[in-house]
Amino acid sequence: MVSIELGDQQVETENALSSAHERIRLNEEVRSESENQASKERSTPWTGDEQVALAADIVMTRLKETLLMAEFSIESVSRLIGAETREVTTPSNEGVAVLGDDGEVEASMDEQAVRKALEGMDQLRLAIEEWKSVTLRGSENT
Amino acid sequence: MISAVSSALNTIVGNATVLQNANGAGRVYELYLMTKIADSLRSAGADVWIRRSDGTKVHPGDVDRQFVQRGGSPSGLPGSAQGANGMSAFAFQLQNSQREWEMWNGVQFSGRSGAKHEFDIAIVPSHTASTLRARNAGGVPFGRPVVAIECKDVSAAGTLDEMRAFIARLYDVTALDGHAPFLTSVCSPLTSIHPGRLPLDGPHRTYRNSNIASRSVLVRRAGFSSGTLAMTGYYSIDPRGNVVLGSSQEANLLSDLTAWIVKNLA
Repeated sequence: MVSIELGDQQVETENALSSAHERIRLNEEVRSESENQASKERSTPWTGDEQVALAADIVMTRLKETLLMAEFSIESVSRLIGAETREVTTPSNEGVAVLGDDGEVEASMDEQAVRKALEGMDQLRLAIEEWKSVTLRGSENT
Repeated sequence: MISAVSSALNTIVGNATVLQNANGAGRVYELYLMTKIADSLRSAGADVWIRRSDGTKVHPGDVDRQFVQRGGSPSGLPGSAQGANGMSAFAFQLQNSQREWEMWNGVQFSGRSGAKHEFDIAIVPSHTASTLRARNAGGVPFGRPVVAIECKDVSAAGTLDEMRAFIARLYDVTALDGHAPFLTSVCSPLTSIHPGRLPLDGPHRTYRNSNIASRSVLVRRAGFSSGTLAMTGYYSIDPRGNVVLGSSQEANLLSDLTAWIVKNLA
């Protein structure tokens, strides 16, 4: 939870990013004249309660986003390969496999596995909400 | 209470086993961006397909229709002789173009110093890929990919050091005309990427020329710390923050990158 330890960081604005994109698009070579450069990254520490709420939010949001991204990727791979045309007599390997250090398949996911994982998000949300509520109540009582 | 959280997480990770690895979410982010780029190129009229590590195309009727993603330690491209179970690539050919390209995930490139550098997503000419695959043990390309994308799937804002590291990697893999006398042991004549083909992959005269002729993108799911953009204009680094599922930043990135690829790689 690096971002929680770092606190609320001061970040570049969307306008600044858009200007940077435009410079790249136009192939402009620009030396930075801004005074706001090479500055030490500034941040405001989160309070304890904020850290709890943030931790709960990060787990839920990131996990759900990651699963949805995996779902899209697997669907996209299927689309790029095209519709199955063979007569289905043997089970096929589909989805995504990830290799380990030894070059062997370490893990794999298909559409069905991701769907089941997404179904488990409701149970996780309830469990985390309860943890957050009890933890925040605990800090009120101390 | 903690056990309820743990149990729910175990159910999820038990199905999405890729997430059992500490880098699993990062790998999913990289694959997601690759598939988004592939989809976007197809929408722009390109022919896009998946190529196995032995160089064969994945067909709809094949029993094995998995996309194999590199995990673990980065390395070069495996040789065809090593089989079809190594890392897959997205291959594409733009409309009305004879040139073919490959998009790789997590492949190392050798720099002028001899150090090897991994790029999360790299687009290279297909002839570079096929020449490396033809070697029994595969190999590490030398030089600069025409598109290099660094992906940061972290919640913390990007720092100037992160930007410096990306620029340093690009600097080391950029081979210019003037470097030719010092790199004869790598390739002669010198190409911008090796194995390469002159004049398609001719080296550039200056870093600036090379920076403009290629596309270098730093993609983050969070933003950039204040002050981080100072180096982007001079070194042509395209900084893309808040690129998450369905965001306008994601749409803008895909639109701009696809337009650049269609214009420059046909």
